[in-house]
Amino acid sequence: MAEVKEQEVQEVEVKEKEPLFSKKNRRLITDPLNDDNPITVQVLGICSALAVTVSVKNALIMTLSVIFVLSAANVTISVLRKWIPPRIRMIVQLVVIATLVTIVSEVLKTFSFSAYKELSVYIGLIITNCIVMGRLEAFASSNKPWQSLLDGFGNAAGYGVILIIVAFFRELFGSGTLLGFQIFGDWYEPNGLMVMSVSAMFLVGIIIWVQRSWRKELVDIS
Amino acid sequence: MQQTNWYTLLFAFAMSAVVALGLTSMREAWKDKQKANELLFNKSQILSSVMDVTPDTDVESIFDERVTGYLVNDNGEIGEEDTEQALEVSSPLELKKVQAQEKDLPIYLYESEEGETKYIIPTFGSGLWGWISSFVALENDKNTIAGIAFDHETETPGLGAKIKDDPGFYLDFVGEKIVNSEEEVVGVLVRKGNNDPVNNDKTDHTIDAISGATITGDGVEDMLASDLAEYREFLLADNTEKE
Repeated sequence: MAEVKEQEVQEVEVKEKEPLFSKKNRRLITDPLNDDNPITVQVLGICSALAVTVSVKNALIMTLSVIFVLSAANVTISVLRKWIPPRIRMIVQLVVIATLVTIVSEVLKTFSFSAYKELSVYIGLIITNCIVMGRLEAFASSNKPWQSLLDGFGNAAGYGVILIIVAFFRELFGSGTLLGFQIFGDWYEPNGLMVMSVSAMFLVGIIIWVQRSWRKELVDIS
Repeated sequence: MQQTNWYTLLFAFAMSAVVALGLTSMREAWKDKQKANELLFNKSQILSSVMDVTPDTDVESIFDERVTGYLVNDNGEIGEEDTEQALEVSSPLELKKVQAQEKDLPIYLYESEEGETKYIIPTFGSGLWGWISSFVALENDKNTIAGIAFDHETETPGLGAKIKDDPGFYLDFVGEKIVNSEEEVVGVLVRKGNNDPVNNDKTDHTIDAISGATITGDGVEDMLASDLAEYREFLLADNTEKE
């Protein structure tokens, strides 16, 4: 787990009648999209970013699943945070994540079998995604449920944005398609390297480079 | 907050109990519906091996009209029609049990609109992360592949999962032969660098592998070779006159 920022360890102080989307709360969503992005700044979740970014559709499914699991797990852990014994908190977090993922898969298996068939391959990738446990440990275990929900949503979205950017380039140049639709004509010879996982590594590297040239303050903090 | 060992133990126990009870009851409550879904999915996989199945296809009625299931014994003899039992033992995990116990194996006959008969054989094997399975449709000569529909448990999307998703892979099988000139059931090899990437040569029992999915490809190869060989007597017997 990457370093935990100080501001996150302290409880976010909520004054009475603080609006639901106060400036501070809004930052919980917007920060992970850019300055505190889980992939490019915290460098977490790289494994699944390499695996599922061959096509934009895969990246979208993964993003939606992680948004649901991370938001729900963050809220659950946050609600239980006063009762969870510190010595077994990691195991509790893991049980919560695994339970949520199982519930999703069982619901789909019962009510939408074709979606279940599409999603079942991602389940293992969600449980082992270190962003999920990272947020539970760094944020939800010491913050209130509403803030945890925003934080979970924001981080999953920040993860998803990078996933989709990487998938966009990999599918476009690796297969000449986007979301399965042909973009380039027959003249285009698909670039086999883009289909391989290494290309995701290059692309994430380029994104990190671009982001840090633009936001100089990020250069030394991670 | 000071917490005793007993509190920690109690918490762990309570958490396990709640989660276990919750998940088990959820599963029990939905078991029948999930089983029905799986059955319908298997039927659509069987049809996929011989025709294009889209979400709009009325799988249930086409299956009832065109497909009949049978069990084949060791001597290659087909029994009475028993579609229900054949479907029962065609799901991936059941199929392995039937093979291990050397019981009669399932097979399907598909009657096309033009009156051609195709044979459809279920297979089951291991990929990289979990099981893989397929329905292999054979032409009337019981040798040439007419189509194949793969499924898998947890192969990686974009890599191993391509066996199911990438037409470039599974359509490659069409026209390949599974029995060689020495009357051995060899299935189809999945190889790289066979100097035949577009698969013009349909007599080499080989198709082109997927980059980045070597182990899944090897699994496909092993699955076809071993599971199709179980039907050896049936495939080699000259019993095409069987109604």
